Amino acid sequence: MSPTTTTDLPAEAYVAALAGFRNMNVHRLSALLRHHPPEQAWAVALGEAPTHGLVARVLSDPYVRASWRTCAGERPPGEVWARCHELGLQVLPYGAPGYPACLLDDPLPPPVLFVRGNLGLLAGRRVAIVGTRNATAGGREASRSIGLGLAAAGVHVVSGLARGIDGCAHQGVLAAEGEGRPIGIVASGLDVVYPREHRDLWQATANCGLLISESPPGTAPEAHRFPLRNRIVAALSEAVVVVESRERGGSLLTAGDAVHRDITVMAVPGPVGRRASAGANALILDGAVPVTCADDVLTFLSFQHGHSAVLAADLRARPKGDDLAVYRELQRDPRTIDGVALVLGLSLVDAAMRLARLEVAGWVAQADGWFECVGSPLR
Amino acid sequence: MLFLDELGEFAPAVLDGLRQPLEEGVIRLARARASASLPARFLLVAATNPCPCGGGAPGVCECDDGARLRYLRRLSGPLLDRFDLRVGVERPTVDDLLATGGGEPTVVVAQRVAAARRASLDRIGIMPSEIPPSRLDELAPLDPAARVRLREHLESDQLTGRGYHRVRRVARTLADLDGAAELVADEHVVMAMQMRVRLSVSSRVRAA
Repeated sequence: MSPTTTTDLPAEAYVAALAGFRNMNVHRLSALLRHHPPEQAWAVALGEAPTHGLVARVLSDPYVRASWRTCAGERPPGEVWARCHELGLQVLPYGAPGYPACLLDDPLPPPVLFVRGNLGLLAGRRVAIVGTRNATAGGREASRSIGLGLAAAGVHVVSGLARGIDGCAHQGVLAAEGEGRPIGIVASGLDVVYPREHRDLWQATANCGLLISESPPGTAPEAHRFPLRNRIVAALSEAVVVVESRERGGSLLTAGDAVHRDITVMAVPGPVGRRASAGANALILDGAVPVTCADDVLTFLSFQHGHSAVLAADLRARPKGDDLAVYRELQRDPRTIDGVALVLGLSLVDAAMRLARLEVAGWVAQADGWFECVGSPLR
Repeated sequence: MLFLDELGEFAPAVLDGLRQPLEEGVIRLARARASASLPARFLLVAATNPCPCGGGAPGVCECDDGARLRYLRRLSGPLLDRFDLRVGVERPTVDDLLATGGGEPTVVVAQRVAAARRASLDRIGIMPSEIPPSRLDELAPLDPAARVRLREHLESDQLTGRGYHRVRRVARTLADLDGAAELVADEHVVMAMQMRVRLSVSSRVRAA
């Protein structure tokens, strides 16, 4: 049974459909497309056309070939192409006009990219901000403020649109009044928003920035796709800033990808012993550039920049006297109400009142019983 | 008194079955031929980890948001809302564990509780927990600052209607423990609110 091969489909349609096969990977797809034009590659993948020995070796697994034939029946090129069209995606096979120049000589270039938004942004200055999904309030704030500062200085911010550090970086970018735009690299298809609560952030990134995936529409955010996504984050950036990362976090893989590509790695140092900063601190020990704010990153990029006039005045009432002591304690470590009372030697009610005042004023927030400092830190 | 340890490990249907007896103080059984109401006034105490790994301070937990969500989804909002007190507990440090000086003896605390109960009985004839919503303003009036505070919490959606009644009763109890002031003061309301820890994934995600 031969799947529909209508001749009026563009070559990209075959590439897009092949990229969506189960058990397809970068190596297999690259091998196919390096040696065959797309339509022929499609036929080769289905075993309907002959190929050379090298490609045949890469594709030798009979189980894989069987699953490909099933996939071809489920999602023929015409259907995948129609979906890309419907979503307004550009499909850029390796080497096509518009394919990012910085990926052409990558050690593991994506065989195809699916794109929404403005590809012209890749001609500008780009810095990646990455980090753990399980961030502390301080890490989220650092990410947001670095994103904001870079965008205000006209630097585009590349990130993975994940929860935690990634999302905050782009929120900062969107809050900035500058030329810098968000560039989001995601692991799923561009119609599969993950995590779902970032729907608005995806939309905003596509509308005013650039959204890129290596996978065709409909691709689920499977775990193995995230490390691959990270290499594109690194490859599209001039420098990678790791804001917070665990000792074995995914952002360390991004940092590794950056080192592999001779791209500068920067890291925001955190308290010794705090898990969320263990990875970032280890990177600094390994020679990453320590940075604490957007200006540090800009200085490294030899940017001419004025003082951070972009930071809006803080309208929150400054905590006074006793409340300040609680705030300073929470700056050191997140605490429960009991912890605050014990450490500062307060009665529970006294601790509760101070925390309530700080919470109302917007200096701290509580989740799961833990109080953390939020917003830009009190200077 | 019913103590449920590891609340998060119970089947959601079991937990939600508790809602009606908690609210009404009776268990209603209905079978094909008969129905019965059994008295069931009880004090429910439950303990749970915030997530599969046991949690800890923000940034320490091992779980991703998906795992936390699956874990916490078992504790439905309406069920959590029916707890008068929700208190976060910090993991004890090594020093805490090795410390020999115990806390306050139970006897002392029990005396304080007994005094507060007497005060409430003397004042209004019932316990604060028994005040019906319609009589809260009469039996547990608020001072102006406390009223403003509660209004703010309600307007910012941090408090449901049911939660509002519960907070007022808890605040009244705190006032009794504090020496039975006629009006419930701001600090009692604040303390009562602080003892309603928000337990959710979304609070973190939204903060992100």
